[in-house]
Amino acid sequence: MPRREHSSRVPASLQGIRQAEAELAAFSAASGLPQDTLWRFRVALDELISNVARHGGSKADVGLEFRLEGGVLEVTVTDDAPAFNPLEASPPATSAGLETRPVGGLGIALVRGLMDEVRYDRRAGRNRVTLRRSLAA
Amino acid sequence: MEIHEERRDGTLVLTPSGRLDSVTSADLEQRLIAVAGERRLVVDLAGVEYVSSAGLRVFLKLARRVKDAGGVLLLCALGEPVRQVFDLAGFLPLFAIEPSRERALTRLGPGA
Repeated sequence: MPRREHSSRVPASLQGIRQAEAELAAFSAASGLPQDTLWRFRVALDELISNVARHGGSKADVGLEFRLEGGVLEVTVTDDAPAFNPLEASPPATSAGLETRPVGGLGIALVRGLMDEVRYDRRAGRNRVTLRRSLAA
Repeated sequence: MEIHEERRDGTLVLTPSGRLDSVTSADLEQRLIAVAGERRLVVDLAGVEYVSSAGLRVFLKLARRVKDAGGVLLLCALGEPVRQVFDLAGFLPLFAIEPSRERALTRLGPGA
C-alpha cells in the first residue's frame, strides 16, 4: 500500500471535532480504510479534541496529522495548550458499581483500549498525542 | 441527533441513530433524562454507529435516574463498535442488555 499523508488544523471545539471527523472520513475514503479502523479513530479524535478543549480552553489550536504506511494508520493530535500528558491521568475505577462509578477519566482509557499504541510527547511548545493502529484486525 | 420514540405494551422504546459523541450527547441526555421517570424503558442502539465517553456518561446518568425512580431500563441491539466501547469501559455488567428489541420487550413482558 502506498504511503499517504494529510495534515490540517481545527479549533478545540465541538465544531472542530466535526471538522476533524470529516477530514478523517475524506482521508479514509481516499485510502480505503476498513470500517473497524475508522470508528476507532473517530472515537479517539472525539476524546482527544474534547480533552484539549477541557484543559486548554476553546482558543487552543489543534493540529491533525494522518499518515498511512505499511498497513498502519498513525494519527497525531497536537495542541498549543500548556503541557498536559493525558496518559498520566489515573485510570478510572472500572470495577465500581452503578451508584459509585465515576464518570470522569473514561475517555483516555477508551483511547488506550481502542488503539495498538498511544504515545505522548511535548515538542516545539505543543502537546503531541500519537495514535497507532494496524489495519489488520 | 435523531431519536425515534415509540410505546409498545406499556414500554417506551427510544431509538437514537447516528453517533453518540461529544457533539450529540447533550441532545441525547436532554431527551433521555426527560423520560427517566418511565417504569419500563428500552433504548434500542441498532442505529448507533459508535459511542464515545460522552455518550457513556449519558447512559450511566440515565441508569441511575431510572433506578432511583424504581423503573427498569434495558439496552438492546448493540452494534459491534458500541459493544466494544461498553466492554472497554467496563460498562457491560452495569446494564441489562438484550440482543434485540423483541427480546428486550419479551423480557419485560406485557405491561399493565
